Amino acid sequence: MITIRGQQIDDIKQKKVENFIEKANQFLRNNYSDKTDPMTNTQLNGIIENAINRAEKYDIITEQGIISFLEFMFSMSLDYDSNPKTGWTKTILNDHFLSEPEKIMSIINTLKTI
Amino acid sequence: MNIKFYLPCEFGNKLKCSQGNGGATSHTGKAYYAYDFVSPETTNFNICAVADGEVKKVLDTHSEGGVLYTNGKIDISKSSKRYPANYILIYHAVDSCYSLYYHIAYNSAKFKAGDTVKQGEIIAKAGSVGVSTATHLHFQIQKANSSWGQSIAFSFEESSTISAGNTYTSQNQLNLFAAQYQNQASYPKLTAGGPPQEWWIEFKNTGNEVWENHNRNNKIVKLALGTYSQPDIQEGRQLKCGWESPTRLAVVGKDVVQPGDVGRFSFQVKAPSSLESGKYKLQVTPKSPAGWLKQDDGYELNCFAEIEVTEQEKIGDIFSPDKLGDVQAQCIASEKALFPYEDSAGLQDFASPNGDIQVVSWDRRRCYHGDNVNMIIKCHENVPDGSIIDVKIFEADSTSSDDIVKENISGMINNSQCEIPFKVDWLNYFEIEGSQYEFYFTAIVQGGDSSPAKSKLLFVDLFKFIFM
Repeated sequence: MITIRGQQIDDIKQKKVENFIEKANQFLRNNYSDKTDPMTNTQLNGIIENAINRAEKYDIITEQGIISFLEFMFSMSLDYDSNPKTGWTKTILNDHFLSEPEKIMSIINTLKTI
Repeated sequence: MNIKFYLPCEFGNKLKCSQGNGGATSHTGKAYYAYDFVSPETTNFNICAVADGEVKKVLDTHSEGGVLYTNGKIDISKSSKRYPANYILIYHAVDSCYSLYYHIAYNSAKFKAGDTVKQGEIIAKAGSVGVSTATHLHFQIQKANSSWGQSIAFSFEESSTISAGNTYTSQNQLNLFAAQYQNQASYPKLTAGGPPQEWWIEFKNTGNEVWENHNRNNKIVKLALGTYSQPDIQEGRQLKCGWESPTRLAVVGKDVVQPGDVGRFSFQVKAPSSLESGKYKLQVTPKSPAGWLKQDDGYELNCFAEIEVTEQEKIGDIFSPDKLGDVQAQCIASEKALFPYEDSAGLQDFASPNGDIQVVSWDRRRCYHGDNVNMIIKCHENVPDGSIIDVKIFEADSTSSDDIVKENISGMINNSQCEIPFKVDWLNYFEIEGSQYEFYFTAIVQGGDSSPAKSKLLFVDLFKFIFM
C-alpha cells in the first residue's frame, strides 16, 4: 500500500486548485470578455478564488459546479447570491434538498422561464 | 453630343479613312456625314462598338457585294437592290442616336437585336457586302431607327477632324473588370458555434476599370463565400448557404483600387453550431458590376477557402465533475440526466441574463418579414415597477455593433415584466442577399446593469417579402 505524506497531498490539492483557476480564467476570458478584459489576471484569479469559497458554502464543490457559479456571477452580478435583485437565487442555493447539479439547473431553468 | 465616340476598331489598331464627310464617291445625301474606314493592318478587321448601347438591328445573312452602273456611273439604287448590305444598328440612349456599321462580313455579327453592348466590344468583322467594291466599314451616326437613316455630324475622341487619306489609332478600349489571384490569409480554423475569424483574399485588378467599395459609381466589386457543394446562387441572387458568416459578402477594403493595384477582400467566417468537425470548402464568388469577375483571359477565378472546423468544447470537456482539489480517484455517479449544463458550452447555451433582467425572449422563434411579434422581458425580483427598458435589435450574423432599428425602442416594467410589440419590417432598408435572416435583441434597465441581457434568435423568412 502506498502511503502519501500529508504535505504531498496538500501540494497535489493545491496544484489541482491552481489548474482549475487557470482553466476558469481562460474560460471566463473567452466567454465574458466584456467584463474580464479590463481585469488583470491577479484580479480575475482573486474573483475565482473568492467564488470557490462562496460556492462551497452552498455545497457547490465540483469544478463544473464552481464554473457555473462563476458564470452566474459574470452574467448577473458578482454578488448575485447576496444581491436583493437576484435574491431568488439564494433560495435555490440554500435548499438542502437539492443536489449540486439540481441547484445549478434550477437557477438555469428559472433564468429561462418567463 | 454627350456621348464619347471612339474609332470602331480594337484599341491600338489603326484605321485609314478612305472617304470622309461629303466624300464625292458616295457620301452625299443621307450619307453626307458618314465615314468609310479600311484597315492598313488587317483587311477583315474586327469592328468594335463606338460607345455603350443596345443593339437594335442586325443583318449579316447576305454575302455578296458589288456595284452596278448606269450610263457609266454607279447606280446606287440599282446596286443596293442587287447587293443588299449587312449591317448592325446600335442605339445610344444618352443622346438618343444610333450608330450604323455597314457592309459587315457574312455571318460575322456577335450580337443580336436586344443585346446590350459595351464600348470597345467586338461586334462584327468588316466586309464588302452591299454596294461595295472592297472590304471597308461604312460608319455613321443617325437619329433614325432604320438601316439607312440621315447621318448627322459628330466627332471621334481620337480626332475631331477625320479626313480621307489619313490614318488614326484607335483609343477604343473595352472597359473591363478583370482580376488575378494574388494572395490570401491562412485558412481559418473554427469552432462550431464559436466566434468568427477573419479570412482575406487579395486580387490584382488586371482590367482597366477602377474597383470601388461603394455603389455610387457602379464600380463596386464584391466577393461572396458560398458552399462549394451547395450552389450559392439562385436566379442571380446570392443566397445564404448553411454557413453563418457575419460578412458573407465582402467589398474591397480600399475606397479605390486602380488597374494594376491589389485589392483585399476580408470575410468574417463563422461555423454554424450544427456543423460536424472536419474540413470544408467554401467557394469564393467574385462579382463586378459587369457580372462575375473573371481573369482577363476570360477564365473563372476559381478560388476557395478551406476551413477546418472542430467541435466546440463542452463544460464537461474542460471541467471535471469531481470535487475541486479531491485527490481520491473516486468515480462520482453521473447525473447527466439532471445536468445538461455539463454537455453545454456554458450558460450562453441556455440564457443570457444580466443583473436586472432574468430573461428576454421573442414570443416566437420564426416569423415572416412584416409580421408583428412581441418582445418579452422578465426582470429579477426587486427591479421596481415603472423602470424603463431600452431595447436594441441586432442582426445575428453581423459583426457590426450598430443596432439595425434606429428608432428608440423602450418599454416599462410592470410586475417584473414588460412586453413590447414590434413589427418586423426593418428589412425594407436592407440590400437583400439571403432568404432568411436571424436577429436577436438586447435589453437593459435604464440606470441599471449596463451589460445587456440577450435574447435567442428570431428567424425571419423573406419568402413572402421577396415575391411581394
